[in-house]
Amino acid sequence: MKTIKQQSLLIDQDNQTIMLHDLTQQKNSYNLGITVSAHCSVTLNETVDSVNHDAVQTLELCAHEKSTITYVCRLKSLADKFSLQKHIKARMLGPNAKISIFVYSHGKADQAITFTIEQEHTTDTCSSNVTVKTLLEDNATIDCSGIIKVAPQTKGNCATLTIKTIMLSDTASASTKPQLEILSDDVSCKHGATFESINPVALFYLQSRGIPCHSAQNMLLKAFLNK
Amino acid sequence: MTTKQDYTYSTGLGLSVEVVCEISAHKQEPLWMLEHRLKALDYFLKQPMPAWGPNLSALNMNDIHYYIKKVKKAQRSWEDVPEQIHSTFEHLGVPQSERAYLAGLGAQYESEMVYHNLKDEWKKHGIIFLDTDSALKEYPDLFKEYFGTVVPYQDNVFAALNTAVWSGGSFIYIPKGIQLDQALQTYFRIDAERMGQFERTLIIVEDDAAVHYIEGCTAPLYKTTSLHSAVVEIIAKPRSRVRYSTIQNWSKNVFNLVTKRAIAQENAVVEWVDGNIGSCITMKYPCVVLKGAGAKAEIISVAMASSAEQVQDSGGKAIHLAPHTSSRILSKSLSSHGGRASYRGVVHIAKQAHHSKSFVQCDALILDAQSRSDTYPLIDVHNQSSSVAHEASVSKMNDDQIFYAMSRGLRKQQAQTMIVNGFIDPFVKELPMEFAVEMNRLIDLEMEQSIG
Repeated sequence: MKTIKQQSLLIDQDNQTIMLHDLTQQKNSYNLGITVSAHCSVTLNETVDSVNHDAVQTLELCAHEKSTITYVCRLKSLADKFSLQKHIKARMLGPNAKISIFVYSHGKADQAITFTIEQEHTTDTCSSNVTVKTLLEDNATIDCSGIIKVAPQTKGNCATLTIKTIMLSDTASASTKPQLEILSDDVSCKHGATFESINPVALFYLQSRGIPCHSAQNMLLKAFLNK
Repeated sequence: MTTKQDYTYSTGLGLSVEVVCEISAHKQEPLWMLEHRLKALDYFLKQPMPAWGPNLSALNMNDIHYYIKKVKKAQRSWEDVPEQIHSTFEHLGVPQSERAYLAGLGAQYESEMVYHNLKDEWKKHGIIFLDTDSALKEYPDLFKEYFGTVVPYQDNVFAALNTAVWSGGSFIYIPKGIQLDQALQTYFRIDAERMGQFERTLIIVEDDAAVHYIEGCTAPLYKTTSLHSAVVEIIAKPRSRVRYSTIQNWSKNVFNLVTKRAIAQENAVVEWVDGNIGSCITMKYPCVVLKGAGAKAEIISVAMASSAEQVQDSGGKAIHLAPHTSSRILSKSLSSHGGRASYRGVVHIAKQAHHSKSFVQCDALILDAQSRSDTYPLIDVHNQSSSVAHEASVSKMNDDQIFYAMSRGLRKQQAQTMIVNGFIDPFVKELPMEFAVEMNRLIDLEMEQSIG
């Protein structure tokens, strides 16, 4: 697949909310670089629902001093057979920058989803927070690798990476690589990854309150993806 | 070190078909073993060095003695032991008699283990505890049945090297239903300069048996690069229990590239307790293959990288191949003085391994700004009924904790040592008493050097 030239965008106003769709003109594959100026905050929303063939999406987020970026991505009801690669790079370029990323996906049929997420801390007292939640059905596969990098001689950085996966079928498969590369001592970095099926205790409780099994399951899954 | 190196037998520097044949001939091995060695050598020569992990370019494979045998016993005197080792023993509080033994003045030697202590009552039960070379001579059938079944030579380049030139190591066979309360112990030492140690350890534990094997390592300080590349194979039969404890404190010029793997059959329990303090580059990932239903694995490790050249690349692997298996990996690492400690691990849950559970925890403590800590886990899950949790954290020493301890009258260094000892406590708790004491003192010593 040929690489697409990066399209870049500079945001220099505070309290912006942007639908990513408008920026990418609803294309399946894109390569986007978003830079947020100092003291600005932006919320990026993306709903991927129209991919019907293989797609590669690259997003680079750059946050300058005291700026905040929140990126929420939802992947849903896509075609039965496709592969989606999503590469997200979060770069904190100025002190006190903050980037939060939430990715929710629901894989079905023969879908193959690949995420690579990089959190790059190059200056002091930045924080980044990444949460990836995935629900897998049928033969869907997910490959999720995240890396937190903290440069030497930086201070007071805080980074977390959480990957949660619920598997609903034995033919689905998930592979995750939550990595850390820490070259500074004044940090607090955490990552966590879990794989499970629906919590049987919660399911039993809901059923004991008169909710049919199927609805109880849906309720729990909905809660998982919305939390 | 001033002692003249007096070896009765050595294959000289470098590795070739002739060297392997010579080793085999000298040991008077059966033909199948020689063939096996040559196949492994052939494989080794064709394989590149691993492209991942720490940099191994300082390792010169042609500058190593692959086989040395020394027959003369206890040649050196206490005065010959380097000053640094003296002071280490002083700090550790090792008794004088044991010091001599630890310093290599006792009966332990190099490539071949001369000394093994097996009590008569164990013999009565049919327990075999020998060095691997004698085991090949005395129990050829048993040996042939299991050798290379857990770690075949094609597994990785260092397993191939070990298979080609192995000598020494331990061979343990525990018959059905025998439960040993007392641990089996051995001390390995790298004694000669530029000498590779290629021990091959094989532990076979039959149904319902239990054993705890302890391997302790100390090595004097030398300047030229040494290589230690051991292979440990453990076969845990149904309902058996095996614990393998080791603390590695090689001198800071040793490359420690080790393959350790166990196969756990139905309801067997395998535990690796692994401490890495010394050596220059360590690559060690104890592995348990959970092959039988209900098998259980536990891997507990501590790594301490305390100088700029030191890379501790350790971790654990749990391969779940059967239903209702469980594993727990607990890894603690400390890095100071520009050292680099990494966790690298795999949890694989196959499709047929339904209702399996795995928990991985890796904590890292970075003691100064020059040091580095990395975590590279891989988690692969192929069924829905299993649950896997992985968590890792990296942080520096908590200032509040240091402040509190100091407000209670401790000096800063004491406070820091106390916090570090608390940090590795879950590991130390798993060690036998004398090891735990030694471990705590070693940490004190390392801390003194790093902060003091």
